Amino acid sequence: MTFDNDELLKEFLAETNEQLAGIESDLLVIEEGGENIDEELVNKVFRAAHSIKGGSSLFGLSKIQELAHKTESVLDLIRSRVIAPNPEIVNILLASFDKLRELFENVLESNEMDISEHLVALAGLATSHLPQKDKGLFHQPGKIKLPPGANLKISEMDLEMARKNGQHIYFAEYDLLHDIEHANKNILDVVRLLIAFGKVIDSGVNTDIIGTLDEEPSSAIPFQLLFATEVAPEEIGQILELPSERIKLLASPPKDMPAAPPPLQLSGMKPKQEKARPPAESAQPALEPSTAKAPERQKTAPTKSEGASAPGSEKPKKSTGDGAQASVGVEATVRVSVEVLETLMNLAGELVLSRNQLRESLSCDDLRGVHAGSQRVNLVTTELQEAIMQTRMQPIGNVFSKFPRVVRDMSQTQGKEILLQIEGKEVEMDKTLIEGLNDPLTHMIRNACDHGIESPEERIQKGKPAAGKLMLRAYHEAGQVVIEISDDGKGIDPAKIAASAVSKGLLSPEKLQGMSDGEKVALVFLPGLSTAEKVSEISGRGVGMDVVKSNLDRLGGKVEIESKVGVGTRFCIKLPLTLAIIPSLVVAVSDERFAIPQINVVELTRIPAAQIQKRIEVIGDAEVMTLRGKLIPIVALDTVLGINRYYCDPKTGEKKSERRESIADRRSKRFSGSGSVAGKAITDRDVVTDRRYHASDDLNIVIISTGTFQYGMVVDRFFNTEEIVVKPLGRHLKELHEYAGATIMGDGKVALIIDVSGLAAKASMKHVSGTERAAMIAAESARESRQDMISVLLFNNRPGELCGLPMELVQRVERIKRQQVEYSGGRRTMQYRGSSLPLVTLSDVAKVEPIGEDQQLAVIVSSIAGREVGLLVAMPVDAIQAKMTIDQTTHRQKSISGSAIIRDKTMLLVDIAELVESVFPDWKSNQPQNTGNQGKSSLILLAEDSDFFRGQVKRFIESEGFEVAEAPDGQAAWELLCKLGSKVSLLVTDIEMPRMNGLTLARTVRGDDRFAGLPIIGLTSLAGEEDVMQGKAAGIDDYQIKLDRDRLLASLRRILSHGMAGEA
Amino acid sequence: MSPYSEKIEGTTCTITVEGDFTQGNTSGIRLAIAEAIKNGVTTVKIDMSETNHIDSPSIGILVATHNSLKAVDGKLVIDRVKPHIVELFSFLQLDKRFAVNPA
Repeated sequence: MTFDNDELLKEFLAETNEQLAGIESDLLVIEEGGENIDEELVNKVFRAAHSIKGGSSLFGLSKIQELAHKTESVLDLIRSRVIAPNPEIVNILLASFDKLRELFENVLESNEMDISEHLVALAGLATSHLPQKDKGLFHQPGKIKLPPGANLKISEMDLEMARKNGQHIYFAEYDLLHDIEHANKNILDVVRLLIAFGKVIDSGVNTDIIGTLDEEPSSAIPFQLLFATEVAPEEIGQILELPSERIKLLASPPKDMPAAPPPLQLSGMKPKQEKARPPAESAQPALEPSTAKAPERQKTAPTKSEGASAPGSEKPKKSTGDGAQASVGVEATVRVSVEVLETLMNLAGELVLSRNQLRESLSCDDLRGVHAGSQRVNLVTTELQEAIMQTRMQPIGNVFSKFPRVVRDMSQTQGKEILLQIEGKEVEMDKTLIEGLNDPLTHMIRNACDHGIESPEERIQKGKPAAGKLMLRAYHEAGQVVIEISDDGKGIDPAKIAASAVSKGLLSPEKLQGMSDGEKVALVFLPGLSTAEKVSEISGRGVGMDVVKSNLDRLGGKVEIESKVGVGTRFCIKLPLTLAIIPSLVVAVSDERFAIPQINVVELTRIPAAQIQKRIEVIGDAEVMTLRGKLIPIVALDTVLGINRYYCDPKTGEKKSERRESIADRRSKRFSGSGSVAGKAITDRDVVTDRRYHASDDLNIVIISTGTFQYGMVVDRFFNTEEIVVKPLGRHLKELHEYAGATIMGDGKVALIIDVSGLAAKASMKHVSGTERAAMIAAESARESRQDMISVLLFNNRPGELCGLPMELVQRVERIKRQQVEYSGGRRTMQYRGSSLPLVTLSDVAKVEPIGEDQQLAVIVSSIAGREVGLLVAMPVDAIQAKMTIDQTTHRQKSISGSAIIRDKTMLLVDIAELVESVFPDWKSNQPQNTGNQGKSSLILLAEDSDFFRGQVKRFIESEGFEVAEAPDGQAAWELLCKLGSKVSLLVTDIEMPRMNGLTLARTVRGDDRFAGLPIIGLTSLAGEEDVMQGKAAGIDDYQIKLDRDRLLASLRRILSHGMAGEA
Repeated sequence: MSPYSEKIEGTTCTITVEGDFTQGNTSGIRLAIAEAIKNGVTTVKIDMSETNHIDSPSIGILVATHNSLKAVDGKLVIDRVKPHIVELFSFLQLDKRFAVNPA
């Protein structure tokens, strides 16, 4: 079959595709509604079938027309509430629409295709589901008077249906010789045209008046028909193209019926008028139909674009097989609203103007003009890009809409109950992405239904609701589209997956050790791994999740998986909005530039030359770096790609070829070949110092995520992040999987785009997360994170005896001469700012050596018990801030609160308060003691995660006569508070704590009526303005520095004696 | 001039239409069938395997043949009819008057 006008057919196919797109979900809703028929929706589906029927008649697509016609009849019965939709009926309707789609895909062969099965099923529906009384109507002749000579039949059912649908019934008589043959028409076209406008109830040639062969050939061949349509009597002549005397109105709908009911209002009448062209013309249709339809399309598709196009209009012979996939699989055209086209046209105009401006400026060397022009071009280009992007954007609902059907069918065949919840249908993405998403998403949805969600019995047994929940969600996040597929099924068992991977030889048992559960679950993406113990016919089709992943990779997407056994599984797919223009990081190696898609870039890091030795190491044959307690494999981009390396001599600026063989190498070739692990070989040169010292030796590393693992890529230089235009690679380079494409940079040079997964494969990158070393580093980092960050002032007592004093307690440090120290009245003092400053040394109380005679002295001034006191120490004095674990037992003695290892030396932490107290025991009595009204019963709850600080603070609060209840974190504190209730008169809490931090604790306390009046003091190492504000907002009354004993105690006393704080 | 062939076996006359059934062969076929019926033929078979188009006057001939045969208790059979012509006959309800066998 051929068509005279391909364009018109394409147009029709595009329109049809649009109409078919939403039908599936509509039918499912109709099924759900059962007898509560949503007329609007049924009408919508009816209309679709109706216009397919009409359109196909124009093109002589008889099979399509017939099937659409029968489908329409069934929908008509539903619409007029003659039959109620149930799963069986909807099944047949769905199958019919599937078949229609298939016919459209093979439109050229459609007339030869077999549709009988569907016709029989539909016809069966029409009669078998009729209530008994209605069945009778089918056979009961209609009570209507036909014109004399009319040899036609009409049943009471036909009349009833016409009445319900608000249709008129006409009788018309054509003369085949005069009205058809002489008018150059074709009777089939005429009838098809009529079907597009309504229902031909009966038709036939009146054979009686023709006579026999012996008589003169009849001068007329009357063809009569009974026609039910909404077209009004005054317009019917135009449609039928007959003089009015040969048309007879037999029945009209009751007046209270809407003259033209919903199915055929606007959409019904308008196309009809167009299609009412004489059939002879339809053989060579002019452009008119499409132009005439433009305003209407504008109405139906006012948004930027609508998913529509001719299915396979370029290669109509190709079928894509699965009918359900057709709607997104084979679109070759895009519908664009006139509005967007206008915008594009305007912008094109702007661009021309800008070009003219630039040319003008260039010809007269007007630099300012050139600047202005280029700015304009920049602006217009951006807008143009956006506008064009809009034309390619389509709602993701185009893909999502098929899933209710998929889930419904799967749950039916599997005997499961599955509720599908879809969110974010309106999220728009590039057309190519939407098309590419179809297969992976279908697979994942099928997987979830098949393997994820359990049978109702199993679910009930597990205490879950019988119906499983499947959630499909799309949303925008950070310039990407995120699609989540989650179910509340049985989840993926990491052990099972791991065992399967090992048994299939995809992974060695050694590698498995140390792999986290999450990493094990992610093994489902390994090629060749299928978890289903028995491959089911539904999702197990020899295609695994690896195909899903590689499909998504191709789209520039990432997929992550989270699963909990018995709870469910969640897939998270992140995709760029478009593939045509992507933000990318530009890097350089030697003289070549490369683009790395931003979506794959996790972070950029630079390892200073001096730290290379510490942070880069070699495990097996892989080089790795440590990054915040994680081991990440690294690879040098130039090595993988085989680029000759050179380095620029920092002194001479001369280019020399690089001699280091691996990133970890720190010496020249001559010394690295010892066979030992790089960096460990001892040579005389090593003894001197690490030879990397110049800034140009720093390593620039891009941390890259492929979705399944991270690796570091060493490059020479970082440039900007740019929006690059992706150009496909030429045929000859297609086999190079390490490149995803190419782009042209601002200077006209070509930069290749790195395919991060391909590059990792080429570099045979290995997971290192499972190694022993990784576990060690992780443990180390975990230990570090548990340590306390403390600022201390370091000083010497004697050489080699390192001591420290918490910085918070230091007011000033003064360097003094030995002569300044005065001894009088048994007290050691010095003159300081016009008064006497009492001096103490550690050896006064603690069992340490006294400061040597020859040592340079310094005095650390602190305020203890409201007085200033000087701690006499030996130089040098240094301040550091470091994480340290404080040992409170080994070196504990009076005035030494504990020790820590700093710079490979033991540091004694001085407790200056205790020291002063011991030297001047009488000072304490000057302080107001906690002997007031509250008595000794005041219980203070102390929440602090660091053992050291908790011990310290507890000790000096207790020394004031308070009772202390301690908790190692906020959660524990809250539990304790609930237990102790009103016995607690004050809460002192640290801010940074595990499980529940101080701010949350404060909020929790304030949120509970029982503790509304409980004062809260926040403890912190260093409180900034912002922290204080945050704390106040959370309900903290006062902030105190952790080791500033005096102030903390003063605050305690003040708050307790005044009841509530607030004035703090 | 008249692209059709005619074969008479007993009381059966088989007409094979060569090409379309239109003005070109209508009158010839009409005469041939009329003659055959006069000679005692009661079954007329028309082979339309090569026919893609049939015009209204030809439809008139078929109806007239049917009417003539009805008078002698004979029957008209149309064989190997292309789908779209089957469709046409069905619209005209001619398939209810005589046998229409699809190709």
